[in-house]
Amino acid sequence: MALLASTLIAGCSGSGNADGAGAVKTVTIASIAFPYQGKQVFNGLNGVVIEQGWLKEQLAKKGVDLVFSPVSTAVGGPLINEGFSGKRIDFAAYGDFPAAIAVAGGVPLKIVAPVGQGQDVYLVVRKGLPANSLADLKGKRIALHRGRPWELPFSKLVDSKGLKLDDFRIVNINPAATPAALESGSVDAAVLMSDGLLLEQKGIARIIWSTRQAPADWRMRAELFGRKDFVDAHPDLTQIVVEAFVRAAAWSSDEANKAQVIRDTARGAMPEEIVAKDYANSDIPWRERFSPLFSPALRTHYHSVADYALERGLIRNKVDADALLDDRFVKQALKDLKLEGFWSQSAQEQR
Amino acid sequence: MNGWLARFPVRAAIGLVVPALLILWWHWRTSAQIATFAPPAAVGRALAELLHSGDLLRDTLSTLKRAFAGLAIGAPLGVAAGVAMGIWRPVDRTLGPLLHALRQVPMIGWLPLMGLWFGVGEGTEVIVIGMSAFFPSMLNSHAGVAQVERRYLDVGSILRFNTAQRIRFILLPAAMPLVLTGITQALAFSWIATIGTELLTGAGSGLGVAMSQAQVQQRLDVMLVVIAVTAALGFLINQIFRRLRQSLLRWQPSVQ
Amino acid sequence: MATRAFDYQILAQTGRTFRLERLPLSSFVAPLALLALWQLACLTGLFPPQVLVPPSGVAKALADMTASGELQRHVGDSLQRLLIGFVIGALAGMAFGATIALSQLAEAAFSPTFLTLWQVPVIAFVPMMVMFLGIDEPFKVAVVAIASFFPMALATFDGIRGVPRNWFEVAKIYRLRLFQLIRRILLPATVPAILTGLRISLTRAWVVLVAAELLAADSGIGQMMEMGRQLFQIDVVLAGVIVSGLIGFLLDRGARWIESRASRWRTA
Repeated sequence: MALLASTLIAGCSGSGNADGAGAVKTVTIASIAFPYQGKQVFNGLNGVVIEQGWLKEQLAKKGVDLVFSPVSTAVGGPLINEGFSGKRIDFAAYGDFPAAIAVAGGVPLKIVAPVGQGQDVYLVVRKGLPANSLADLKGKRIALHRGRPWELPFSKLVDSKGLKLDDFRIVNINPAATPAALESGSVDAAVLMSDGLLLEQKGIARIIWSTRQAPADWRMRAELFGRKDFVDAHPDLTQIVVEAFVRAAAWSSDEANKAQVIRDTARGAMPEEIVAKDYANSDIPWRERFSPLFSPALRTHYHSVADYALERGLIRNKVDADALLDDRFVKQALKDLKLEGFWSQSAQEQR
Repeated sequence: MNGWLARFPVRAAIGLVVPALLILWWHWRTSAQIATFAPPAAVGRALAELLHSGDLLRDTLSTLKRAFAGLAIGAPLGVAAGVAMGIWRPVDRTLGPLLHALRQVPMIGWLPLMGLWFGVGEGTEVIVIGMSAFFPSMLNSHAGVAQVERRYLDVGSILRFNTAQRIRFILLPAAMPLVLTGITQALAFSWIATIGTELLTGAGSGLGVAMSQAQVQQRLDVMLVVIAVTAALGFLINQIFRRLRQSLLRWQPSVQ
Repeated sequence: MATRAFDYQILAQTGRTFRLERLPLSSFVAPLALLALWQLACLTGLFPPQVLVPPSGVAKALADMTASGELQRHVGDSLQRLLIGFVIGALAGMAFGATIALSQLAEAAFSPTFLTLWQVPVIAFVPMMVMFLGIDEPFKVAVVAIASFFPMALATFDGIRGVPRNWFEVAKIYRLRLFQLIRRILLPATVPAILTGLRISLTRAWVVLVAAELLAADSGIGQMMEMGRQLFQIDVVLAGVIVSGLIGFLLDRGARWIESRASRWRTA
């Protein structure tokens, strides 16, 4: 509740944060949150960071407040981009594509810590539609929320079949409105994250393709991004934030905590078994799930995201993927926490 | 006028016929066509659930707070602008067309831009709501001042009123009915704008947010409860304002 | 309901006050000043150029989209929905308003429900309607129809109720049949109120349509703005704001012009 209140106040005060140089009073981290029991809860590593409370303590010692800013999944990345642009948030755990959009739009960001191994994207068709491949969907209506990370895997699929987005009727609706649209037949197919699994379970739709069947690089990724000017001006605070996330990652990677992690991720979002299934679908060992290592695969992924988006005209300016990655903080955190070797670099290369 | 229709109990009974029919039809039509169709019973349960958890109260208060905050900002500004435009022709000529054009832009359209420039938060929402309240107040106050009868103004010039006196003793009282109408309308508009902005933002608390979340969670029963509450509240506030207006203007002979 | 009549007359009159102003040169002062202020704000660098797009950027976006035909497509889709929905909603509103104005029984039966529904902003119905109707054309047309229905019904009601009692008595004295009653008395008497109602409905419907398109659509001005926002192309968003405002303004002016022609005929 206090977090919510302070978020609102932070929102009210507009650009309350100094833009880099100068004393910082608050560190604001934005992420997707879900309504659960009257509050906004964050899942994934954000939730763990909040629960552990370590970050709050450490920042408090420096006289800095911590605020987690909730963003509804219906809105997603675009809202975070606006927040970055207005310098109202300093960090955000969100997806690859919206981040590329921000950087191309003139809002410099840095990846300070990966927070997971990416997520699968599913292409579902509504019940009763006899379509089994993308080609069957030509001319049909496909729900795709634009500017969200799952647009890219879908785009790549379209390309790989020699088709174009124009061969379909793309309907830009948010994932919250999509189930109803599928059910009433307003759209024939949809591109979704794990909510695709839920729809299949409920019998509303069938999955006809997922990134499981695609090159590993196609999966959408989310990382902890930081505003470049903030990171440059306050490496000490950034270090603390990154360390908190590495701690959270270590805790989550522990098999003993697996059930808890799944339970927390499910809060307000998807039923637990869907969450578990989504995790299980990709054959990443649980231990490596939350690895914060900067792997070559990560680098390649972001090059691919930047090039692809530019080529497709989704962004207007070139994004320098190498400048995006900043692994200093993770390296330092691993050293400080004596977690070098906890996650294996080679496991990254496999995927 | 049919005598028997004038009696309140009869009117009330007839008025309830349509809603009753609707509810009956709804009760029988729980078809599986839409997996989330909510029968009246489910809605009743949802209402109880929301009341019990205090969510409904919290959301209602939030929405009310925002709507009135916006009104408190937009309406006085609107009245001031309208009065100024009514009194001084040049102001009207210059500002008029511009404000008129701005009025046509859907208020909701401003929200993403405002959010971008000033941050997503209470402040921005209240500003947009205030803008919605501004225009009806302005239009009606302008009309109110413009319609003040010549003879009152003549009395003022006979008594050699200066501008301030003219405003205070003649214009404002004479324009009051329309100004108050403007404020009542501004209230309605700010109510609409509040729900709209809450729907678009989808975070925090408020009736519009509750609707948006109900959509995310596919809970039609919750959505219906919230819609009903919104309607009831809107109706109530409107009635209160009307009574207020009537009593404030009691001294005016012509006010209905 | 009596107080509502009052409201509508006010809105109508306010319209007339503005209509009487022709557009002298001084009326361009304010918009130009705003434009200049906007450009100035961009120059000071208070906001980065991607966020507060300078007027030139917006102009360029408008030009690009017109060249590619995208703008026309979106505007065309939106206007088409507006037209269809408006015709349906306005006609239904007129019929409903007339019915409850002419029949005491109908009024007693329907007006409480009507008034209660009137309190809910149309936009609040959007999530529910999306659930039932999906996001296809029917949904958007339905939203416009509902948005046009209420003001039209109220205006018709007030218009008819505003007809002085003695005119009805005159009709009775002359033993006019219903058709003649409508044609010779009701129609001329209520035309001003109805035209005003049409204008208000139309402009309201436009605003609601854009808002609905923002929430769920695959084409149209509202959707164009939303997609611009998602792709962080603020120039597109601003272009959308300008276009939607312009269209609303033109609709309003057009409707006022029709009103003025009609009332000229009436007083003749």
